Amino acid sequence: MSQLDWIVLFGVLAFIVIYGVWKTRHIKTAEGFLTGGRNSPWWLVGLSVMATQASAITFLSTPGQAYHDGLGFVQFYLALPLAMVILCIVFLPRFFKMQVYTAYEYLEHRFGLPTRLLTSALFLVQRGLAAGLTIFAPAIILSTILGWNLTLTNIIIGILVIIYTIVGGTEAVSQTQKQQMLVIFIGMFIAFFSILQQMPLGFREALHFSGQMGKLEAIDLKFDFNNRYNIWSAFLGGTFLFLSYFGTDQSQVQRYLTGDSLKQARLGLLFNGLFKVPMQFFILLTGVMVFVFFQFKNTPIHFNPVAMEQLQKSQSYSETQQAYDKILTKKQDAIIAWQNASDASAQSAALSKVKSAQEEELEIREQAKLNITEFNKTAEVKIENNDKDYVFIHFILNYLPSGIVGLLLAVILSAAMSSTSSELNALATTSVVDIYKRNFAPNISDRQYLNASRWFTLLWGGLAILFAVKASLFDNLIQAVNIIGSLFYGTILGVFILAFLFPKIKGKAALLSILIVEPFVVLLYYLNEVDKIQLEFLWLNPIGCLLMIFVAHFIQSFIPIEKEINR
Amino acid sequence: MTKGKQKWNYVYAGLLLLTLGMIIFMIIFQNYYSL
Repeated sequence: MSQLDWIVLFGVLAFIVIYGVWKTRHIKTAEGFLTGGRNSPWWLVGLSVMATQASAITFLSTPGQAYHDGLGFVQFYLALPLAMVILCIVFLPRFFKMQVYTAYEYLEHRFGLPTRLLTSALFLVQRGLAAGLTIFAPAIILSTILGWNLTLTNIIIGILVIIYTIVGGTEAVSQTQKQQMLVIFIGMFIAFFSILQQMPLGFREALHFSGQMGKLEAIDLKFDFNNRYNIWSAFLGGTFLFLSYFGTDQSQVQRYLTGDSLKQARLGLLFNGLFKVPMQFFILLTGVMVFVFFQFKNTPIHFNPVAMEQLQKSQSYSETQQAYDKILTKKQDAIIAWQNASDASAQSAALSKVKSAQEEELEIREQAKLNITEFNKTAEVKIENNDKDYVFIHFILNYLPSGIVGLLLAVILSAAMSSTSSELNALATTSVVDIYKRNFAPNISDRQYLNASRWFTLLWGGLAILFAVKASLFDNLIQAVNIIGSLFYGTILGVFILAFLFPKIKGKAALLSILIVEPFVVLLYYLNEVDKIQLEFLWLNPIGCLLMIFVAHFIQSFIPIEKEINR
Repeated sequence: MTKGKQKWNYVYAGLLLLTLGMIIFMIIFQNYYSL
């Protein structure tokens, strides 16, 4: 990294933090801190929702995913507009009518305090751990690639976020997300056009080439229950997943509750629904262009430099590297022949040469991965073997001009900060509104309420940093956090659907249903893990949600309504 | 149905139609460049 890159990186991040603090220095009330004054216009709500969902991994991992597997991942987002429409019709009017601070507050109104406490506690546990990972995930990649100190990187990202989130709360989160999204868009466009500029093929030629290599297959119309990347799985599973995430996760709910009115919040969510698919398509297309670009470069056998170091230690390495280099040269010659082919048959002959070289290249890469897997079996510190997270950063650091590298790193860190700030803000809000004020200090003054909100932001920020710093010690914990989050989503969505659409269902039936359905969902997950059943992870959400509706109705039929009312 | 509600329904329908448009575009895109 050049000096200019450091200046750009620190300049952008410092500007965002200072802007966030300066813009929200007027916040003096708890209402202002927790809701941002409820005066955001639709475009700010939309940007804020998008920035919350787009974490650093979106920008590190997604182009790498496209590099390996093409555009298919975009299907996952196709259900998003439908989910946004359902949220606008069913969820938003109820939240806005009650002027709630948190989604779980609504549940008390329908089902009583225990359900509110249970759902908010589940959110705190799951999101509290996830906030640490939002910081840790980019920090581990950047520290591996750039040699930065991992602990220091975690602490710096965490502290930068805490500074403005503590000062300005919800409004600071939204205001900084506006700047962060601007940096992200500018950075990604520059990266995309830099690839095109440096590539020996024109854009149309690059598209034809990647199409021939199967990288542009965005839509798969075949129905396959066990493949999440086809349009049917995406619509069925994705709709439930997005409804859970955007409708019941406070880190998202809080973003649209800042809307000036129901209309502005709705438009914000629809804006998210409209732009998310093209945005993901564009990021994936950038990854595909990186794939085409790398056809003309001598790429490493493994994109993770630590894995590469390990591979270089093996005896057969130089032989493997020589074979690999030969294949790359053969492939590059075949691509030039494809480009210069005068007729269709010459083109198709050249293309089959490219494809066979590609297969040979993949074989060597797979073998390298097997070697790392073998090494990981006995190693104390495991090496990340899935190198998709390292593809785009390899491109950024090696092929972008000085200054732009700093900007792209700012994109990655901005994305990390935008998600983390929403998470800390939501964690503090839920802690103070649903737990602290509701149960322990109902009569505190506004000043104390505001102070408590700031202290909880600091507490969750500290915990997130601590977890990020310690995350590398617990390999399985990282996986467990991701799993726990997804395991509860379906059940919690079920509670909200019951609250919104089934007035006959009362508190006792709803609470009992959670206690019955959740262990069943966990059991299904376990049976899948031990290969007793075959069930794609995505299906746990619809199953959990639909079971909640059935079980609650069943239980309610045994509880006389009068008893519930007199409760 | 109130006029306001009807307007929103048009907005929702518009968004879903646009999504369908995006799907059709992607199918045409992938087929065009794979040939």
